[in-house]
Amino acid sequence: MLELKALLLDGFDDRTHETESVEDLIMSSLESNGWTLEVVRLRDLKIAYCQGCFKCWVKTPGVCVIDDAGREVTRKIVQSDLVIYFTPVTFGGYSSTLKKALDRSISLIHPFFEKTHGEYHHKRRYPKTFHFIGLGVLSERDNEQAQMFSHLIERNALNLRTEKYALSIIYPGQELEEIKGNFDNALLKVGVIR
Amino acid sequence: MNRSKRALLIVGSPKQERSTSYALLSYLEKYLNKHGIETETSFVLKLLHESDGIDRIIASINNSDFVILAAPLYVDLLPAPVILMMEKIAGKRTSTSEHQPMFIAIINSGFPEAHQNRLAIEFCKMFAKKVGFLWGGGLPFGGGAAINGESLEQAGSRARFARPAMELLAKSLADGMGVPDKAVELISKPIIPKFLYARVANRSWVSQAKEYGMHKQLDARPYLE
Repeated sequence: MLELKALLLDGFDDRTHETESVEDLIMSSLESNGWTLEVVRLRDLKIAYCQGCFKCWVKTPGVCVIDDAGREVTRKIVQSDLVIYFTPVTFGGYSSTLKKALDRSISLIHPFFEKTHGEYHHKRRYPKTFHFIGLGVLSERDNEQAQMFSHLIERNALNLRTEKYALSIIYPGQELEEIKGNFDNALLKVGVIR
Repeated sequence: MNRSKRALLIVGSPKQERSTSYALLSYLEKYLNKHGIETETSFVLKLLHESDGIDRIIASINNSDFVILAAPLYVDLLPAPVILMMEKIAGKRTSTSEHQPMFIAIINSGFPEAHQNRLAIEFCKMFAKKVGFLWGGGLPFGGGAAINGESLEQAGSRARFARPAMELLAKSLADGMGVPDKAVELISKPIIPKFLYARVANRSWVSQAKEYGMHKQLDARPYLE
């Protein structure tokens, strides 16, 4: 039977009771639907900043020239069926910890531009693309940041050329049951739950 | 006697002096100086490597009337080191911090469409709000990768809209105002038709790969299972 793999990229700088509880409920939701989940705590990994050299496109196509955990994270992303970006919503976007790993993963797309949805984007490198969920945690009730985060997920999905993506926002003071309900809706949207 | 106005120019590109971000700020700096605005330039990567880098940038911010960030678009947002700098600044300032300089963001990308930089500009605006900067506006520069680290003067026709946009920005800041609409309009103009930009860019990837003997390997899929 085909193994369906999910990857959670934890972009928090600290491990807290809240982030652990959320990761536990995500694990439980995925496993009960027959998926495996790997959690990668990016704060524990040595990932250098992207140098903007484009050598991952022209010198060592598909592989970053910097030999550190950034390469391994990219490999895991490519080989997953679902990737979850778990991050504090930071000025409406991703934390620097998550962003560092994402910057280093552009080797997973191809340098060539092609037109899609009326805009120019890079074409896919791999035939299969992963679905993704943006799971953002707001530190305060801020609809503007929530909307920006939603827009960011949409733009990333366009650049990743991924067809199924979803957003799940965790608001301050939310009970775990509500968080699970919202996350399960995201799983439904990307086809994990049918 | 009133002191001169001061602008802090922050280069957000990991390519530092070889970047389009630096080219834009260097050109802007000349015109700011012509209008009597003193300038100081800081590089994000350098300041993050210094143990007192954030304290020094905070001191520079407190000494500036304008803070102007130029950065490339990475994965629809700013490069991670720029976000880290912003997180650290947010650890030391709030929306009600006493000194509130005007903050301007200039975002350039390799995509030919300027609008693809919009979300990164909104991100900068949200940052400004959280740390008590007055939002002066943003400039989205599509196709900025074509500058390729040359100065705006050397870049010739590739910078024919960026140059007057920076000149207009400098004048507007000297007049105490933010990013003028005309500067946004200019810098958003495609340098060449988009389909041609894509074709030239794709040929450029091939010729860059040829330098490494990898032009037939561009489609490599090393992580395919």
